[in-house]
Parts: sequence; structure tokens; C-alpha cells
Amino acid sequence: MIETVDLTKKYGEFVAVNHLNLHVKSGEIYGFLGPNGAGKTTTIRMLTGLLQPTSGKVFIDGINMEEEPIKAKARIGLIPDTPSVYPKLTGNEFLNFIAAIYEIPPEESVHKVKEILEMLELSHKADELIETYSHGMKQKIVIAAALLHDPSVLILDEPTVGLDPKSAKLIKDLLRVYASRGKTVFMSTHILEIAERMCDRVGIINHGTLIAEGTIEELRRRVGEGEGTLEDLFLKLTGGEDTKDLLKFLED
Amino acid sequence: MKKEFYIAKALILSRLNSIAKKKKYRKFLIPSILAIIAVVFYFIQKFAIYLFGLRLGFLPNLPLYLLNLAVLAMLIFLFLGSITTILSVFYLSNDITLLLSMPVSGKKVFAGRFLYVIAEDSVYTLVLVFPFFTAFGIMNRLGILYFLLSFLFCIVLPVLPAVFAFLVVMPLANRVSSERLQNITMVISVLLGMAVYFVTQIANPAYGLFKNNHLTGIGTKLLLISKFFPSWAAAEFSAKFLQGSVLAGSGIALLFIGANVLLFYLAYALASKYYIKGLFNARRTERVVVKRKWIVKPGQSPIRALINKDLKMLMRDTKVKVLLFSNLAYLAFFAVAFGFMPSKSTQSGSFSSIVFLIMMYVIVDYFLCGQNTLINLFIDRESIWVILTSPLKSAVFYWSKFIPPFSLGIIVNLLLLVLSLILMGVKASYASIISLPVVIAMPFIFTVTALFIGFQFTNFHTPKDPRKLISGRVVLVLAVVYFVYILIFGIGIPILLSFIAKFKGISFTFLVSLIIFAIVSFGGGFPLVMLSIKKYEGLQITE
Repeated sequence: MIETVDLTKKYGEFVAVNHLNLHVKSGEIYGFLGPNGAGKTTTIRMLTGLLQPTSGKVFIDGINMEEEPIKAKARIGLIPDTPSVYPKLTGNEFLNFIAAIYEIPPEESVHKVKEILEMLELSHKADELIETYSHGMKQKIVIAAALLHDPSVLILDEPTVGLDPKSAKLIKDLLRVYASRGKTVFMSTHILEIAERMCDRVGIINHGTLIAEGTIEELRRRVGEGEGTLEDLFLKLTGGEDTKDLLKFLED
Repeated sequence: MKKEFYIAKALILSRLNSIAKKKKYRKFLIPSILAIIAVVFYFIQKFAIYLFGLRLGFLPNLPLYLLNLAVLAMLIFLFLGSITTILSVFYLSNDITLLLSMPVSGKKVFAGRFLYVIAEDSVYTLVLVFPFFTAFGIMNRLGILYFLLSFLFCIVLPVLPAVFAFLVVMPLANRVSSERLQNITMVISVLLGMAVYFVTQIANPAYGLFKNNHLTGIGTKLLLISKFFPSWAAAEFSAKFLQGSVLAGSGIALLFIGANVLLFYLAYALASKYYIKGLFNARRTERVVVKRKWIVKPGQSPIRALINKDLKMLMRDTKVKVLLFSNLAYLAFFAVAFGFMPSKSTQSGSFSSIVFLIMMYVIVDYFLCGQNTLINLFIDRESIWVILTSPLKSAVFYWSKFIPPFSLGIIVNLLLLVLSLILMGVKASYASIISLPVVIAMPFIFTVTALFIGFQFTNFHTPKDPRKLISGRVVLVLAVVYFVYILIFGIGIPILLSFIAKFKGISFTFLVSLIIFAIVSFGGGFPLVMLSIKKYEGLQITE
């Protein structure tokens, strides 16, 4: 479960995230949408303890991130937008390292590392340095690391970027299974089709403020889009209708 | 030439923007730079006029020697930085991939980048060398032509080092991957530094002060070679203007400028054939399989896993290996040149043997514990999010960064202690006992200081430039702090202990040494440990 109370982040005068109140339940896949620079990554960084809020609180499974960061972090698995991992370690070594810092028992970790590498089709690259991996492979090794300690909250920042269609499908299936086991999945994405098909609820953030939240149907009703796509809904809510001018320009 | 100028302009703008990081400062940037340049120029010119005006009986041509020396010093500076500059600007720059996809030929990309390098380097030559020419011109009332030619001389001065570096890097880039290219060029830069040192000793105009019979036969011949160095051209054309031979002086200056333009065209012609191939090649990734026996093993405690991970990464990073190699080279040089050879003649418990032993530990620990701690800390910079989002206690992370350099310092200190006892025999035993607390205290102090300073600068972004493994600010602050440490621990305290040893005997001096280093370690070191751990707890990743 993820809960934020009046979560705010300011950089000088600029308000990156403004009094954000979220409540993501266990077993739920929550899509966090917003245009570029809306405050998605800043929010994710505050949820995972990478950034301290200016004010407000973050609770992971009821644990206050500020007061008990170690306990809270032990329950999180993060998949960041850029898969920057130790380039001079092999995939195998990186996962063993993760198992050690999350204190997974040795017998369990050997079995889990092998299993997860096979599942993500990385076994053949397990003993090669990560710096030689393609972007998609690096993304997969980060996913493997995030899942290794079986976190109760999985936070993903643009999880399918750089993945081939087969791997993207695998991730989508995996997230569904994960949520069905009672775990919380919080995902920021630009791919509205993924949000529409996978998420139980979505939240739309713009200029640091949560402007809409609910199931896709609820949002449609609220905006009066009827049978329109999530894309239309998103553009209407975030003022992205300017794109129509761009399309007109391109047509001309 | 339009596209070349656009490429150079984009690079210059991006350089200026990187200096003025915030948009609001950008409008003040160029006026500020010009103001600083004008002030520095004025003071250097004033200084040069003062130097030129000195009357040294044994050196009648002092202004010409100084002019020669100024150009030579600038050339050393340009040569030393040339390889890494060419590598980062021509091959590793982020915008190259974009340029390759555009309808721009390789030679235009080359020319644009070359113009940028020359533009940047000529700022240095115009600020630091041109004032010597203007001072010479003002003092001798040489006329506008002299000023114009010396201005052009300074503009083209960076061409030779840039072409040289390009001719070194280009063939390598056509054969090896980016990673290897960076490693090989780092080794070449180290060797180049040694070669430049050697060559400057030959070309040093100061040798002209001595008569040729003071030099060996080879030395005399090598001195003749110095006539071919660009620094000689500066002195020669200025001398001709001084003698009133404007035509001869202009001829030499124009010959020099023309030779540099030709050099550029030579590089341009080669670049049109071979540069693009190297660009593609440098972007190739090599497949590296790691042998099973070297892997990080599963089931370790967090602190062991962290140390294991760091050691593996350090051992596999050739940039780090090159740095360690140069550290060891300096240590060997220090040990042989200033250490055991002269110390063989020192007396037991004497001033010099105590100072020597303590100074040796301080210098060794400066390299082993100071520099290596930072390398070990910043090796995590690219992937720090893994650590910061994990349930790792800050103290565990801290000690994992402390243990390897500290242990290395202790081991090497103990080896040096044994070695000094073997080589210096009984003479060292007295001094060794007094310096014993230093064996443990110094690695501790140097390691905790490096970690403390490292933790103050939380910029954990990936270095794009091979020179910037550790950020410049950290290196600068640490250098100042360590300089003070060397003065206190390497010179001040050993001198104090030597005096005490002279009057109070070995036991008392040992006790004083123990108390001093215990106070420094507990009183100074542990608060730094606590502050660093606290700082880590507040570590954030920001843009």
C-alpha cells in the first residue's frame, strides 16, 4: 500500500509536486500519467526515498518513509526510467549483490537469481559485463533486481521503454500476476494504451498537481468524453489539445 | 565553410552554457569573461614589462628568453591536455551520433570541431602568452605589424598540439572500441607527460645561459634541435623586429603561421578519409565474458557484498588501473629518490630519520588512502540509486567504503616499516618506534577525510570525460586539505618529535607521538565519520 499526505517538493520558487494525496491499495495497479515535466519522476523519487519532500509524508505499507526509511525501502522494488547499473559487474554478480544487500538467504538467492534470469531470457548473458548489454537487456536486469526480493510495493518509471514487444508483454503479464498476489504496483507511463488496458485506477498529474484520479470509466464520465480513448481524455485534461494545431501545421 | 562554423558555434555555445548553468546568468557571462580576460591580460603584461626591464649582467637578452619560455610553457600545457581534449571533443562527445545522422560530411564535422578546439585554446594563448608579446612590443616601440603578427602567432599556436593529438588518436580510434581507446589514450597521456618533460629540458632556454662545454656532446646536439621548437620562432621573429629587420621578422612569423595552416590542411585531408570510420568504430561495444572464478559470490553479508562489488569493479576498470599504476610509479620514485638512498647515511634517532619515516607514511597514505578512497566512493556514482533505494544502513555503506583503502594503507605502511628496518638496520629501529602510531593513524585520518569531503559533493552523475572520474571540486578541496595535512603531519609533528627525541629519549617521545596521533584520530577523525554517515542519510538524487 502506498499513501502520500500533502506531498510537496519545491525547488526554490518552483513547485515540482504540489500537495499530492495518493492512496494506492494492495493488489492494485495504479497508473501515474502526466505530460513531460509534470512531476512524475519527482514523485517517484520521493516515494522511493531518493528525494526528501519539502513537506508532506510518504507511507509504504503504513511505514513512514521519513521516520523508518530502512524498513520502508525493504518493501519497495524500483524500476527507474534509465537503467543505470554497475557497468563493470556481470548480470549474475549484480543480482547476487542485490540479494546480499536485501539479505536474501544464500540458498534462496542462488535459486531465485537463476530462475529470474531464465524468466527474463538473460541466462545466456549472465556472465557478461552489464556495460555490454543493450538498452533493453539493461532494463530487464533492473526489472530482475527489483523483483528479486519479492517487494510488496513495485514502483515503475516508464517500465516498457526500450523493451521489445515480447519482453513488454512479459512485463505486463508479470505485473498482473504480481497485483493478483496482493502486491501494489505503481507505474508511471507515457504509453496510454498500457495504462488503459492494465491499470485499475489512474491518476493524472499536471504542473505538480493531481488533476484527476479514478478508473478510466470514472474519468470519462467526469470529463464527458463518452466513448473516447484515454488519449483524448488525457489531452483534454492536460491541455494537450494544442497538438491539433501541430497536426494542422503538418497537414498544411 | 558554413556548416563547419555552425558546428563550432554550437559547441562554443554549449561550453558557455555549461559555465553559466542558470539562464539568468547567461547575459552576464560574455561581459564577465571579457572583463576577467582584460584584468588578467593587464596584470600579465605589467608583470612581463617588469621582468623585461630587469638588468641581469650575465643575460643580455632576458626579454627574448622570457618570451621563448612563455611560449614553451604554453606549448607544454597544450600538449599535455591535447590527447584527452581531442578524444572527448572528436570522438566521445554526445552530439556526434546526431551529427552522423545528418547530411554533413566527416571532414566538415572534423573542421567544425577543430575550429572549436583552436578557439578555446587560443583564449588561453591570448590571455597568457600574448601579453608577453605586447609587453615586448610596447617596451621596444615595435609598431602595429608586430602586434598583428604576434596576435596571429598566438591564435595558431594551439594548432600543432591539436594536430599532433589528432594524428595519435585517429589511427587508434579506427582500430579499437571506445573503452579501449580511452584506456590507451590515458596511458599515452602519461607517457606524453614524461616525454614533454624530457623535451622541455632540452628546449628550455635556460640552458642557453650556460656555455656549451657544460653540456655533454649529446646535450649540445639536442640543444640544436631546440631551434626547431615553435618557442624559438617567437623569440626569433621578435628579435628580428627589434633589430629593425621588419621583413625578416614578418617572414619568420608568416612562415610559422603558414606552417600551422598547412598542418591543419594535412589533418583535414586525412580526416576526410579516415575520421568517420573511427567515429563508427569508437561506438562499437565489445563482448566481455568474465571468468567464473572472479564473480561476486552469493550469500554474503551486505558489507562484504559491497566491498566485493567495489573491488571487482575497480579491478576491471582500466582507467582506475592506470591511476593506480601512476600512484605506484610516484611512490617508487619517492622511495628511491628521497627515501632509502639518502637515509642510509642518517644517524639513529636523528632528526632526518624520524622526519623521513613519518613523511614517507604521510606521502604513501596520501596516495593510497586519499585518492583511492575517492575512486572507491565515486565508482558508485552511476548506480547510486541502487544503494539509496535499498534497505542499507548508512553506516554499512560508509564502512564498506572505508575498509579497503584503510586496510591497503595499513598493509603498505607495515611493509614499509619492515623494509626500512631491513634496509636501514638498527638506525631505523629508534625512529620506527616513534613513528609507529603514524602507521595506523595516518591511513585513518586520510581515509575519513577523503570520505567526508567526498560525501559533501553529492553529484553522482556519470562522467562523460575520462579526465573527470572524480569531480574537479572534490579534487581541489581535498588537495588543499591534504596540503595542510602534509605540512602538519609530514613536517610539523615529525620536527617536533625529533626535537623531543633529542632531549627526552625514545620512551617519552613514543608516548608523545602516541598521544598526539590518538588525539588527532579520536578528536578529529571520529567526528568526521559521524558527520559523513549523517550526510549519507540525507543524500538525494536531484537533476
